[in-house]
Amino acid sequence: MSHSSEIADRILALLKKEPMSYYAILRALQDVEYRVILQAWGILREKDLLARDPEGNYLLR
Amino acid sequence: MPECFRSVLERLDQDNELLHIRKPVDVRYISPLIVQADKPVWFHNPIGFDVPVVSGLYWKRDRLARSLNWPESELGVRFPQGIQRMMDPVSVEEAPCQEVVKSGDEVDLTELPIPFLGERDGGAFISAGVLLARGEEGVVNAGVYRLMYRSRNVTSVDLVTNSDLRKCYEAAFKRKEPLPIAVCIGVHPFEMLSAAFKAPPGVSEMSIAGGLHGDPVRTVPAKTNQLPVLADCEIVLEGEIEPVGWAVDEGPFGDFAGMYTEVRWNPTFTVKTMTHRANPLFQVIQMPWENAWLGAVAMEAQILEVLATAGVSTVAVRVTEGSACRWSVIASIRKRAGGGKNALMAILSLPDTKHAVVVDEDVDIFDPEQLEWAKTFRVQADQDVMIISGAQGKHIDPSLRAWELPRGQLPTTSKMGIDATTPEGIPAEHYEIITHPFRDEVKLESFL
Repeated sequence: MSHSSEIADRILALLKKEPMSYYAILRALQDVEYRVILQAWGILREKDLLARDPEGNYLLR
Repeated sequence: MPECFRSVLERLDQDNELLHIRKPVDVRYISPLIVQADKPVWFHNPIGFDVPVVSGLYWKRDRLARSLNWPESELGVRFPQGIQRMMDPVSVEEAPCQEVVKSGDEVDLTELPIPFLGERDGGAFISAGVLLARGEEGVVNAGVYRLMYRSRNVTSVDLVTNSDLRKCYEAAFKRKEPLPIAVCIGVHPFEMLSAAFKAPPGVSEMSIAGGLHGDPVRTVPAKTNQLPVLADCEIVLEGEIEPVGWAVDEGPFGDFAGMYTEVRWNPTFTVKTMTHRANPLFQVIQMPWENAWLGAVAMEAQILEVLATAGVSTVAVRVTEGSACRWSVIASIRKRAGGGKNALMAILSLPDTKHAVVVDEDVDIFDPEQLEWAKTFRVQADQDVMIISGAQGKHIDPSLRAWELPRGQLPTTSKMGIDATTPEGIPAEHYEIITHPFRDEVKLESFL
């Protein structure tokens, strides 16, 4: 499993607990290089796993 | 050959007007660092990326002027000169922006340090892209549109607001066809300024940029869709806006009015090819002021033009900072009977203006006290305040409640004009301003 896939799983785990803003996700992943977050985000988008609430928070589809 | 983005940076550097940050910087921290800097910033070493970031060129009026190499006081005047002497772009065969070509699976937007700009933003945004698309009449339209990163080759593109690009996309969408586009990043300020200007139908914004340069803009055919991309820019994203309609979530985004847009629904842009210089720079436009100041120059030029078309003799115009350099306009005119109302109708006919105040030439439009005086003593609200309902509006204005509209529907707005010129029939002596006697003959300092 690539590093970006691992981070994608971490984001999924975070969103399973509660809807989060992109900013909150970035803050929760302070230990992860920014580019890897972009790559992980791409994985989640390609799999169409992300939905939004009216406030703009991300949640799992 | 006209100046390019990096020759502007060289010029700013020579004048000690560019801040170099050579220490490694987490791209998360680029946005707050840009707003703390007192000059434009070149981040040489964004952690995890090989592409440096440049931002803050247009954060204040004086920085914009320096980038353009124009006197600050002449911003609104120089731009129309470019419009008057438009030069069509010239096509070249080889271009710096195509020194490196990556297509298909080689395309990876995460090579670019796409930043996160505002706390409530819905993601990372490409904010400094000049987007090119061919209109129905064959003219290439250029505009500045934000792109929200989705994946290695897909972004969303904001087409909620009424724009030339939206019209192009609506036509393609009706035919169920993708719209070929190209996004140029790291362009000369003249090109950015022209793209931010809503040129009249049939006019190419890049011809205006040529007029500003005094030299035609150099273009090169895009590798995949033959659109004439800006040869001397840093990075080009070629691809298609997919015929999916307003289908994917986009935003929020801290927009040019200094407030956040809500979550919107927008089409997707699939990047087929990315070309760039051998060592490209990635420009970031930091919201809201970089965008606001870019728009201010074009707005003031547009107002001058529409007033001239309406036959109004204009002394000065300005957009107000409080209205994000866009929504509110103040103009002073040499009035003929009814001229105040004609000027208001002309100004309010522009899609972006919401409020306008017109005064006589004896009022300094940069002096708030003089403006207040004119609005107080030259206005009868039942005769001189013009209200127009149901005009084109912009989603960013919260007072329009755009979030209540169905997906893809455009909001409408009311507009207000105040004719603060001297009412017809009132003799000038009624407005004679107190002048103090002997004021040229004595000086306070002589008695201290």
